[in-house]
Amino acid sequence: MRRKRELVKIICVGGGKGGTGKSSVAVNMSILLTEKGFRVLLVDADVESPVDHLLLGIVRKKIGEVKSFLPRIDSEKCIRCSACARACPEHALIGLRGQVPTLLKELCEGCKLCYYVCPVKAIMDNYRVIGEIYEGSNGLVHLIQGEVLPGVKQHVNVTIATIRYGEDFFEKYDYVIIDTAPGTGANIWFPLIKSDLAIAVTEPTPLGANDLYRYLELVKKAHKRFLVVLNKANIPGGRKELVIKVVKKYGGDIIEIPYDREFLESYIKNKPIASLSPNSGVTKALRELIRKALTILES
Amino acid sequence: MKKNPEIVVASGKGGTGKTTISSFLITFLWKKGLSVVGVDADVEAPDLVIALGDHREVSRETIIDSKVAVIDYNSCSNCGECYKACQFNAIEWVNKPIVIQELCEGCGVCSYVCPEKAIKMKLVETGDLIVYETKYAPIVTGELRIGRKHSGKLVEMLRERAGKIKNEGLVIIDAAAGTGCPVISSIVGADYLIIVVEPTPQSLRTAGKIADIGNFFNTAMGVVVNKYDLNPSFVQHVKKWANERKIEFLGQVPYDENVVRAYVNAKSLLEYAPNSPATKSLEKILNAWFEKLFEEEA
Repeated sequence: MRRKRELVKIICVGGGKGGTGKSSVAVNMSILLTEKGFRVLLVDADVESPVDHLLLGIVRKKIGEVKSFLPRIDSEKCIRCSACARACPEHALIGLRGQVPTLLKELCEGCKLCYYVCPVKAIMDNYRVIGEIYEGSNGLVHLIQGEVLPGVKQHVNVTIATIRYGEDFFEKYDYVIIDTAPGTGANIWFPLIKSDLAIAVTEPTPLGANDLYRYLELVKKAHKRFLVVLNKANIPGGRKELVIKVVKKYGGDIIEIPYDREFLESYIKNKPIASLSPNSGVTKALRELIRKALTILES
Repeated sequence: MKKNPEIVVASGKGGTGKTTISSFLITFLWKKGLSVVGVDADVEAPDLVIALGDHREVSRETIIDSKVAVIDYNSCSNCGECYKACQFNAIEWVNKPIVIQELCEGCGVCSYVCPEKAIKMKLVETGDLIVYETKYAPIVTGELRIGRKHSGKLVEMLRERAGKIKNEGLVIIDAAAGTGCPVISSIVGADYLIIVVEPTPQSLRTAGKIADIGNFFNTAMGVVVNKYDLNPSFVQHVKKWANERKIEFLGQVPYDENVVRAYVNAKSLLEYAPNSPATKSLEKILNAWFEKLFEEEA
């Protein structure tokens, strides 16, 4: 189960709040690391809103599917006892007396308890596709990306499957960057515990500081080292001090990225700023981030 | 439209302006003299009350509704059945089965398959349900225990609570980023879905998934382009997209620094900058939307 990964270093990019620039930081970090001659795998684990292929300007290719258990009842075998319906924690199986239970598949989380509970093995070992895995490359950065299918609840399963899929190739790389979803839930926890370093991207607003606090609590719980990226650091009226106060509590370093119209335009045009404008203030700040990250990882 | 509608604001992608628009909607309805209850359904990053300025916590209760598996190693025979049965990668095998609490769904399949009856399901805290008082409306929100699953269930509870508070008012739900379980729980059964997009392909792409969820539940939908002037030519794409999907195009809002300034000064945008470009365009959009929404009744 444990994979050879003594040499590869894993960095996850998160931060709690949405729209702070997590994906932009992850993509540009990947590019800058390849410029240093490292072999880099970018794993886009924001499976509800995967955009790293767009940001890299590459066409992705589907390479796998993520499946989840979905009960299928053999009505010939079913003795209409409703044991499965009583056991289902999501109430996805509705059992009426004397009838074969009905499945509401939107509610099913695929836990498979019904399959085990059925006394006559009338529930078949059936699976449905809940997500897809893609890959692509811009010649430098290799991308593996997961995407949950619309209306599917099990985004955590797809996140885990995407990272597990990538793990088989981790040893071929020097660095793996995992781009994660907003929030502080289980879909953030899994990539975090796999990582050697967490990058928390935030912005100088009360909302950014509030969500950063929740994210750093999670980082602390996972006993991980971290760096904070304060994006759009100099926006007018920004509340940098709120972010500094949160970071101080956890004893980490902050790298400031200046607000730059060009960064935004590079995002809109889907051309990473590290390639588009290698001497901009933003790219310089990102280089500084890499320097600090490498110092931590090599210590 | 029924009398006490539930309006949900969602976007898929983070940072598009969901909280800005839902908080504005609350102040807008307040200004009209309507009674409103807000639900901050972003239980992993709750921020709605911050956007509404001054707020006071009026109640907080701990919700204990999650279960996690606990293994009694004295009875465990190391047979591996639980590890094989778990569908959520929540049991790791490091010489023996180890439950990763953060990934445990609490379904109980491990406990059921264990031949030694060594696994018990323990009730644990899901999070807090909090009610805030603001100048404009009571806000029901939750704080999921950090790293815990079951955000969807917590969202259902928040909506239930808001329903009890509202008497006869509107409920405004500020959904989480993403398209997963808590977002689905925010949209199901709502009467109108406002989709907020920013003018980028990334944003429109995930907005499509939100629209798919809305379609699935037969929810009436409208779209607002926020910060449209960062990429004005993109608005056409959104209009075409909305048209193809039979989603109402509600309008576009310019990028406006007053939005950030209002947060920073702990004031609502409507009161902090009543004449700012964002306020003006949001008022125009919401007035038109509101009249249309209730025209059948008038």
